[in-house]
Amino acid sequence: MKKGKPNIILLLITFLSFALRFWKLASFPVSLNIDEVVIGYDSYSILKTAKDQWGSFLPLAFQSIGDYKAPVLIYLMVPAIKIFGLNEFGIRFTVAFFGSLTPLLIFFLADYFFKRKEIALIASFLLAISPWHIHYSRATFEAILALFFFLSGVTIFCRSIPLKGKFWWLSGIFFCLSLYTYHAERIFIPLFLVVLLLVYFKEIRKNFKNVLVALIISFIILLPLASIMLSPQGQTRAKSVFFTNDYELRVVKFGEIEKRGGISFFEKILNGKPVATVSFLLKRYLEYSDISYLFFKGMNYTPDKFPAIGLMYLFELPFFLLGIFKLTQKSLTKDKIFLAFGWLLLGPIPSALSNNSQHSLRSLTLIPIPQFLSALGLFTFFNWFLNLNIAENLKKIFYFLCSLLLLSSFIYYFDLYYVQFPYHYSHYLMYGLKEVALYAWEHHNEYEQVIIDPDFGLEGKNITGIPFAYLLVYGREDPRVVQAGKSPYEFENFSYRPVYWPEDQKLKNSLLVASFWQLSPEEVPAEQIVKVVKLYNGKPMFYLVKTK
Amino acid sequence: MDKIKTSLLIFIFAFILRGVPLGSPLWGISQDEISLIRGTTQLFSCTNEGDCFLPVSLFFFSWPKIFLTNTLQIILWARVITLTLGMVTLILSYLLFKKILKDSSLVFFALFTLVFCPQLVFLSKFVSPLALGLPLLLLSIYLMVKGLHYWQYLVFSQIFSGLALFSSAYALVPSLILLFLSIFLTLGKKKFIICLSAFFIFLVWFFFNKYSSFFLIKRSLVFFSEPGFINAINSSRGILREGGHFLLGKILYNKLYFSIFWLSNLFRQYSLANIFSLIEDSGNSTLFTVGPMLIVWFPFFVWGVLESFKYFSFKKAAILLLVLFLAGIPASLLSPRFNQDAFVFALFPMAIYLGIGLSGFFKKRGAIFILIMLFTLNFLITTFKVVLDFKQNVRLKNQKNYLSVIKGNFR
Repeated sequence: MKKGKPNIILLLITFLSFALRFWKLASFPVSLNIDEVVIGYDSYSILKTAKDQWGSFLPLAFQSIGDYKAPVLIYLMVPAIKIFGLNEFGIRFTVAFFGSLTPLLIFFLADYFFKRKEIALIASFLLAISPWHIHYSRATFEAILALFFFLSGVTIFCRSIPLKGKFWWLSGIFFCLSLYTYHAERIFIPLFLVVLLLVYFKEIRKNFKNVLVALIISFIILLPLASIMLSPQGQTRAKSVFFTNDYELRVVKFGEIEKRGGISFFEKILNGKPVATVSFLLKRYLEYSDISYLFFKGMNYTPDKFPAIGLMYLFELPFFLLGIFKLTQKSLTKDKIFLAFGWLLLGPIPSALSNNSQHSLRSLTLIPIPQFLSALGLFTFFNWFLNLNIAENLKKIFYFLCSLLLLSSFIYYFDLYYVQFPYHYSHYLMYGLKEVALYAWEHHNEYEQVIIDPDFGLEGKNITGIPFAYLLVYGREDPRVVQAGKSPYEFENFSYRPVYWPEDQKLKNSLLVASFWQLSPEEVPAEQIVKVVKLYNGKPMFYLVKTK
Repeated sequence: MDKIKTSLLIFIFAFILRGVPLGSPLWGISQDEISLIRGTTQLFSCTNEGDCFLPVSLFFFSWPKIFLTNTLQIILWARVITLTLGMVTLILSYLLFKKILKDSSLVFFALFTLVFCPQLVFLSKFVSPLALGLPLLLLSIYLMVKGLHYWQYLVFSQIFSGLALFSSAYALVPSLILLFLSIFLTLGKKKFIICLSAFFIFLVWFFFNKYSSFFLIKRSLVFFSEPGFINAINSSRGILREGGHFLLGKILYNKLYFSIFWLSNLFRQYSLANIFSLIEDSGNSTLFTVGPMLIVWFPFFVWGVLESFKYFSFKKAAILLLVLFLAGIPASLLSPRFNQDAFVFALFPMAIYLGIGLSGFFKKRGAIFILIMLFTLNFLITTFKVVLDFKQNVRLKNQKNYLSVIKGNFR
């Protein structure tokens, strides 16, 4: 490849990455989700008062809604909220920005791995258009930021090896930042560092001084994190999402064992809870290698049996498999092969240990390796094709067909993300709560109280929203007022509890906000319904009802 | 002499695992056994019950009914037939592996994994059409491999493919593939006509047995009658139409999607979680909730697949991979989830990979002890779970039938 050409292509890829992540960022996803509103408001609160919504001064763990969020993203969002305001764009800007830069990191890392700019560019391009990465980049997920820091750490570490570890201290800082950014990294990174140690043991031993410097700096940075993680507050999140809380394990599997009752010692050993737990964990771990999940339906944009899309495009599948084959044929040096396989094996561990099956967010650290494999496969295939002894016109037709395939994959993805996904699942995205919040703010002075029922849903009351956070964000309530109250939930005349029409209709001059499960239009007189808030697909969800 | 001793030992182990306890009502009676008891004695037609025995399997399993009247004795002797078929399956696997893997240690390792495969063990314990379809198909494949050098074997291969076709609904697709393959291998040669004739005989018999054929197709190709897919495609198209993108909806969402759904379902059959761990809930397994292969084999399987390209020539390794891929097709044509019963065909190419993977490991003697411990523990745990699952599934599901068969037919 000509000198300078890779830089131009890389620039174009970066531009594409920005375009895909920033285009209509404020409108899609169609609503701010729960994490976005609380993170956004905490960031706003830090901007205004240097305290979080609970009044803690520059905390290292944000109490938020009781889940004690990691701090880095919230602090990094402050400049964006200052410039763009407390709105959808301001809240989403930071993660979208770092997400857009991640393909650049992938390029440098892939270049180190494969020593071929072409493969690095392909890997970078694949990440730029990756449904998996785009989805989370657009919706303020800490995992994207954590991934950026983690990849920075790995890239600097690897590229420092020929420099005798000169910048390993910087690599350590980025790893530490990643640990402060997202909980899953707190499991993954220590394990990954062990792999790094094993793979590059000789180099680390030779340059132990630089390792020591990195360790000391990292130790100092991580001291506060250690104290947080050891505190009850710091463990809240880990405990709530740990796999032992999984319904399938705790209720279904353990329930079966307990139902059998009076089991013998032999049965306890061979089919008791320990075996059930290990089997369950293994199943969860192995699920992440499911091709059907990776390439056909992993993004869950549509219901079961509907056309869907995986974490990667379907056209990547044959090249991904070819890439795996090529990797085992010693197309890389031994240390890189071990690093790649180690990364692949460790990637699903944090998500396997959590209480969800096939959670694409918690396994985001895996993302570079499948892209590397697809890139290697693509390069291998096109390299072979280029050297085929066939007519140039036939080659041109083939390239045209490939471009058509790529374009149609894009269009299909666009439709699923921008049309089908919000149509089917806007209620899970908390769509409607913005409209509710804006109306409630506009009219709350007309009522003695505004009662909002947090539970709603289409199939049943299976979604619990946090309406108070939407009120805070869209009302841009002064954080000082919120901090002065007993809790962030208590401000103005808003309250949040289940609504029960037969009783609540007796309340005087109140505004009740609930879904049709609680405020059925068949029970509530039409003249008392002041507003109906619909979902993205036009189905009515929230009814705003005034009492007499 | 050593090879003979090892072979004997493996087969004795296999017999004990499969044969004990054979007739004990501890297991309950499976749905197929109930169909057998209830079914007619017309040997060349299907019964009218929902669970049908195809002509060939009806022929094989009905012999005890001719000589015996006691229900439990009929079931016991029908199970003896299944046990025999299970042992024949292993013998045929051994012969096939010998043809493919030249190294005898690899053959034994491959066979070992099948001997202790939970699914194959329990397939040999109950009357099941699949227990017959499987050895017939294996025999057909073995004869086809021999037929690469001596064309006469291809004709016999065709015959056994045809018999497999009419023994189990799951054998439809593999037997058709083998039938076509036999014709393809003789293309351009004079013997082609003989192979083609054998194929046509089965085609005629296929259309002659209208009820069996209908049942066969209905049971093996359930996937394409899933109403949910058509509704989903129409719904997705409708959503775009609402937005004014009528043409785009037609281009993006049409019946071509069935091919993508099917491909997704095909890859779903190869989900490592389903094969080596616990099967996804509400799977179509008629047996139990653990995967068909022990988890302890997982790393050796992955290693075996990668090493196969070093062990075989690239062409042979690619063909073996293709065989593994094709073996999952019957399962993918059933309902859109992992189908443990129909996936049984894929266990044989998997065993070959395991043979390659395990042989490499056994060169490192220090780790053998750990592997034996893990294998023993894994096998015991899996067997225990299978026993409990099966008792629960079979007993609960067929409680009523079980009682009526025992009480009503006891003579």
